[in-house]
Parts: sequence; structure tokens; C-alpha cells
Amino acid sequence: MAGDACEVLERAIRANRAQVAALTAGAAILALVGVGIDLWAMLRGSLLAGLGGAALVGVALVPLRMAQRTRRETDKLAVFSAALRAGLDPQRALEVARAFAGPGTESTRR
Amino acid sequence: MTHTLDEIGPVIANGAGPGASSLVDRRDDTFATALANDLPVEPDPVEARFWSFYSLFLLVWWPLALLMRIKPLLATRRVDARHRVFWRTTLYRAIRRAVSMGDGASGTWFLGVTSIYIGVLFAVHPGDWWLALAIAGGVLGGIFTIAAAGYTALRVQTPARFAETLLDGRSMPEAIRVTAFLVRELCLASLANLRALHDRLQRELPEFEDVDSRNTAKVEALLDGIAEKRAMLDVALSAYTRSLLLQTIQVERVQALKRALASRLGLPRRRVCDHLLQFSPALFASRMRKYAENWQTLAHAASRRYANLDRPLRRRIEGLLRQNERIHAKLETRVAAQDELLDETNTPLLAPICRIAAMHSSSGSILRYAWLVAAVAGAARNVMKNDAASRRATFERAIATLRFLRRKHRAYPGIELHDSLLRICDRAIGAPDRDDDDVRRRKWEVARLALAGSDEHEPQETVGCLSELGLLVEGYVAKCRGEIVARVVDVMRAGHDERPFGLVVTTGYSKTVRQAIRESIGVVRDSEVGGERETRVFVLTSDDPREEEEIDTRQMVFELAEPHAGRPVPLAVGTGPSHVLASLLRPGEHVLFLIGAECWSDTLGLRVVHPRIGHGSLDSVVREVRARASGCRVVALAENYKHREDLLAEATVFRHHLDRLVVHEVDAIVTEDEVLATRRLLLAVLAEPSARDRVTALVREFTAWRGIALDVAGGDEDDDSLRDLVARHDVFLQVIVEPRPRGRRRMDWLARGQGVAIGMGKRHARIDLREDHDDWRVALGAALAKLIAVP
Repeated sequence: MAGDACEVLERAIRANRAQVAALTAGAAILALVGVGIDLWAMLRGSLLAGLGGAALVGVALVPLRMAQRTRRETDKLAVFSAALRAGLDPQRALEVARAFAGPGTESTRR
Repeated sequence: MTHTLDEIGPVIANGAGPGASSLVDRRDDTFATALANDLPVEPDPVEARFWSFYSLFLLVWWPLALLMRIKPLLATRRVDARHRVFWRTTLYRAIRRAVSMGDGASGTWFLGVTSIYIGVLFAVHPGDWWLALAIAGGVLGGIFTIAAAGYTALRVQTPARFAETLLDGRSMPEAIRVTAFLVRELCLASLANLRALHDRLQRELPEFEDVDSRNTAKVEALLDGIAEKRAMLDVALSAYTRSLLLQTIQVERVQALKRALASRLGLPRRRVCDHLLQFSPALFASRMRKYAENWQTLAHAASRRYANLDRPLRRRIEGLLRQNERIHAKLETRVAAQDELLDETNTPLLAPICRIAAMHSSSGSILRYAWLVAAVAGAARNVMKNDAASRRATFERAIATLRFLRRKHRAYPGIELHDSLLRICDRAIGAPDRDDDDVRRRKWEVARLALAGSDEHEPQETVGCLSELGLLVEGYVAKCRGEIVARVVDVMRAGHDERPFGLVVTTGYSKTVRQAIRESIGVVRDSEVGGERETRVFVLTSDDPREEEEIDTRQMVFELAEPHAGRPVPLAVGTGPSHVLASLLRPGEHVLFLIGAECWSDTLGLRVVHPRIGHGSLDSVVREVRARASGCRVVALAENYKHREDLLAEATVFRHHLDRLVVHEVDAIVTEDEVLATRRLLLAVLAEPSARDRVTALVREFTAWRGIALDVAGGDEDDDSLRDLVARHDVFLQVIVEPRPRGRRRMDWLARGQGVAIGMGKRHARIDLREDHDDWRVALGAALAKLIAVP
């Protein structure tokens, strides 16, 4: 039972990781295109293109936030998986995982 | 699809379910995953690179960019503080200089973009309130910096690019308003400088406060004061001159805006300046410089006692004071002119005014002007009808708007439309009342008085009559045009020397000419020529291939060629420059030049004002055609309201519109009432050279006074070409001065002249003068008067 559950969790974690990578890469590409447009606008002296580039960098925030959210969920799943493998009761493991907010955040620092 | 703990966790905790089974489809090595799960989660490599790039960017670029901008700012401030220049100007120059240090105009974009990156950085990990505040501040700062950077980027562009950027994508009225706004800003800045200088002088020189340039004692007191405080005046003038120098870029921008606006509106720059904006940057700059120079001259003059100066110099000094007063006052009126353009009430009129300015048909423009007047009056009438309380105020606003319209419509390239409208009113009032319609006559009268600026009638009646002006003028112009066209048909039927015209040539754009050609060509071809020879139509264009103002010709050709009511078969219209026209002439063909006219006069011959063809003149083309064709007539079509008592005396016509109009002499003018024809006199003198010159001079004097075209022939009866010449003239005068030259034979060919002019019979006369005759002038004058008196 625990082995199956871990396998399910690992599969979900891998899928999430792939999604995070895709989203982050997308955000990076968007932001880089925005910066490129900004540079071009700077050389060209075009007000509109400069605003467009800046807006594109702003738009890059959206996939970035999505990637971050996915990554947090992945962390929680990883904690849940580790707790199960450590022999914790599934309900207890679920509580532990839910309490985990991810590395680098206030809750873990505390 | 993100797999979340809330989705999977409960399924696993409560046993396998559908959510779990869907995930167990594929099995692979779970060890690596498990290991990675047990280790602390690190940022994704791509993401890490992403952030490290921007961290570096922010850490390195931001302080560098800040330093780049602050350093010159401080340096400029120090330099300019010595000269007491306004802080605003200093800041502007500092930013401009700082930005120029970078890659160009938009260097400051980095500031805005960097601020956004700061925002991004913070937005990824929101935390405490202070962090949120910092993020909000960063984002707001970023937006503000972007706006500021955009503004700065705009300001630091070259004048031409500045104008293009500012006017790009704007409508015609908006482009005018933007230009007017910047002109106003420039004038206000100059006015502030002038006032600053003025106030300082008043503060330091009590004599300046009540100076009167016509009062010698006061001028003397002022100059004494200036002599005492010369140092103060020098400093004040230096500050003023410096402010002028700082304004140079603004003047250049306005100049570039003027050029861009003129090209957008399709108008010559001069007309945009003189009539639309009522502001010339070049004149403005020269006036501002002159103001300072005048004060410098006064300062120099103050070094000597006023009483010791020469009288002309004293007058000159008083004149300079007056000139400075005028410059000051003129600047205020320029601001007022721009205020009018920026006034929301006048905005709807800007686009129609521009359309009038780009029009080429005078009667069409008058109509459009009349409809505009009617629209303004109609709006006022409606408001006055609904709101009795503000009746007077509305009326005054309507009158102010009409004044604005009157000032701005002068951008039209032809004669002044308002003046023509008044003439139309006069003619309509004075015309025989065929319809016996007193109401209509009353409307004309009231509208006439209102247009002339009189407030004799009640506001309601005035706006009511003015609101119907469009329809009244439309009817009047249509009536005139119809009558002119009918007369032109007669002229075409009569032909030249009783032969039909084989070629009709026109130039420029005229609705009356267009209609006349359409209808008259049909008559000639169908009834007179009977299909044997079709009268051709040719629209003459400029000889200069670089000439761009060909819109008149293209519009004329297009409208002539398109089918219209009553004439389903389109006319065959040719177009080209004068050499093409010359190649089209058939031997023995008669040519008719049919042109429209802006205005005309018959005081000294028949003269019309007509749009010029490129840089050339119609006269040279006519001369060329006359030399080749057997007969040629130049006929102008013009309504009577375009008549001027003395065209050549009205210098304003040429002052405003020399760029487009030129005066031509024509053979005939067809109006709605009559056909006025110039008589051409052929003079042949048989005499010794000295006597021939004397007779020619006397006859030329007479014909010039009577407005008769004079050609002088050799007078040799053996010359067969003289017969042709006689046939082409309306009047032939042969003068023989005794003793007769040897070998002279009787000129029996005189009676063979067959030419018939428009509305006038051919006449011949012969005068014998003796060499010892006391007064040739009296004898010639009497003979010519008798000869020419009969039309």
C-alpha cells in the first residue's frame, strides 16, 4: 500500500517538476523578449515599443507565479512522500505535509 | 495540470481511489525521485539562472545608471547656479545631457525597466507588510519612471523627430491643437522672460514705470536712470539673452512642428503660419532678439546726455521704446490667438477650415464657408431658442466664433471668402426681385449686416438669417453657374471666326469650367460638328516634373472623364505639360483656353487672378499656341461677385496668396450677366522709323488706358502674313505718315479681313497723318475713340 502510494506520489512530483521547468522557461523567454524589445526601443527611441517591452516583462510574471505555486505543491507532495516512507500514519503524514510551506519561506525558517 | 497535495493526499490517506490509479499507469526508476524528494528542494536551474541574471543586472546597472544621471545633474547645477538660471531649465538640461551620454534618446528606459524588475523580484516572494509596501512602491516608481523616461525621451529627440512623434497618429484638429499648445507654451515662456525683465526694470528704475516715448522729458529721465544703473541693466539683459538662447530648441521644435503640420495638411508652410497658427517662429525669434538689442542700444545711448544727442538719434531712441512696447503687446496677442485654437468651442471648426484651405474651387470654398457660418449660427439659434436666460451670452459667443472663422478661413489659397460672401449678399440684395420674395431679401440684408459686423438687428433674427445663409448662397452660386455655362455654350457655338474650336484647354480646378466643358463640348460635337471632328479637351499641367501640387489637374481630369447626368459617354480628356499640348495642335485649328478665375477686373484690360501652373505662367503657353494655331482665345469664367474695381490696386490679394496665384490677361470674361471681351488692335504704320515709333508710342498709351491689347505689324503690304494677322484681330488701324514711303502700293487687302470676335464686329480704319501735323495725339485719339467706341 505504502509502496504504491509512494509511486503515485513520485509520478505526480515528476510531472509537477516538468511543469515548473516549462513554466519558468516560458517566463524567462517572455522576459527576455521584453528586455530585447526594450533594448530595441531604446536604440530606436520608440515610446510605444518601450512600453510594450515593459508590459511583456510584466506579463512574464504570470507563468512565473504559476511555476512557483506548482513548486510549492511539489514540495508538499515530497514531504508527504517522505513522511509516508518514514512510517508515519497517512493522516498524520498529510497533516505534516499540509503544515509544510516550502523552503525559504517564513514557516520553514521558524 | 498541477498535482496538488489536496488532490492526491486524501486519496492516499484514505486508500487507493480513482485519483491515485490514474497516476500509476507508468512505472520507472523511483530511486532518483525518492532521493530528490528527501533532499531539500532547490530552485530550478533555469529559474536560478533567470534570477542570477537579474540580480546582477540590478546590482550593477542600477547604481551605475543612477550615478550616470546624478553626476552631470550636480555638475550642471553648479555651473548654472552662477548664472541664476531657472531650476526647471537646469533640470531639463541635466536630464538631457545625462541621457545623451547613454545610447541615445531612450536611455532612461533602463530606469523604468529596472524598476519593473525590482517589482518582479519582490512580487515572487510576498511577505510582511513592509515588503508589500516596498513592492508597491517599486511598481509605482517603475510606472512613474517609465512615464518620466518617455517624456524625457520625447524631449531629447531632434526637432524633426519630436514633431513627427508628437503629430503621428493624430487627427487634423488634434495636430493643430498640439502645435498651438506648444506655440502657446513658447509665447508664455517668452512673455514670462519679458515680464521678469520688465518688473526688474520697474523695480530698479522708477522712471521706467511711467515712461512715455512721446514725452521727451520722461525719456530723458529714463536714460539718466539707465546711466546710473547700467550695471543692473547689463545683468538683467544678460539674463534675458541667456533665456533666449535656452529657448532656441523650443523655437526649432515649433518650426519643425509647423513643417510637419503643413505637410500633413497639404498646405504651404507660409499659409499655415500666417493664417492658421498666426505665428511665425522665425519672426518671433527675431522680435525677441530685437527687444534685447533695443535695450542695449538704449544703454549705449544713455552713456551720453540725452540733450546732447542728435535729433534723429533722439527720435530713433523714442522709436525703439515704442517698438519694445509693440513687441510686448504683440506677444500677448499671439497667446490669445493660440488660446482661440485651443478653445473647445472652436475645435469642430478646425477640420472644415483645413478642408477649405486645401480646396481649389473658389465658388466651392465660398459655399463651404457659407455653410460653416450657417452651422455656427444654427447652433446658436438652437441654444437661444431653448435657453432664454443665456441668450445674449450665447449670441456673443457665436459672434466670437464667427470672428475666429473669419480670421482662419484666410488659409484658403484664393481670394478672401468673407469679402466674396459680402459681395454675394450685395448682389443678391441688388438683383431684380424675380420671385417677389421680400422675406428672402430681408434674410440677405440681415445676413449682410451681420457679416459686416453690425449689431443692428435682434440677436434671434441675426442668427436665424445667418443660419440660412448656406442655402441662400448655394442657390445663388448654382444660379450664377448655370447662367455662365449657358453663355459659354453660346461662345462655343460661335467659335472663333465662325469656326468651331477644335481643342479646349483648361488648367487648375474650377467647378464652373468643369460644368461648362461638359455641357458645351456636348453641344459642339453633337450639333455643330456633326461627329466629323470631335472637340478635344486638354488639361494643362506644370512643365516642372518636380511640381507636386498636381492635385488640381488630377481632380479636374478625373471629374471631366467620369460620366454624368445627360452625358453617358465620358469625355476624352488629355493631360500633360505645354510641349504635349503643342504636339496636339492640328494645322488651322482653333484653340479655346477656358479657365476659372479667383477674381477679375476690367479697368485696365481684362485681367483675372488664376492659380499658377507650377512655376510657369499660362501666358507663355498661350503665346506658344498663338504662334502655332490659326486662332486662339483665352476665356475666363467668373461670377460678377468676383469683380474688383482695380485688381492691381488690391495688394493684399498678392500679399496673402502670391505663392499660388498669378494675374493673367484674357480675351474674354464670361459672367452670369454678360460676356466681356478684350478687343485686340492691330496697328500697321507706314512711315519712317522715327515717325513709326512716335505713332506706336501714342497708340500704345491710348490702348493701355482703354484696356485694349495692341499688336504692331510691320505694315508692309507685300507681307502675306499680315492678312492672317488682320484676321485674328478685332480692330485694324493703318496709319500712313506723309510723305509716303516709296514703292508703297494700295493696301486693298484690308477689306478681306473675316475675323469675328466674341460679341464684337471687326472694324478697320485708316489715318493719314502729315509729318508737319501739329498734334498727332489729338488726331490719333479721336480716330481711335471713334473706332473703338462701338463694341
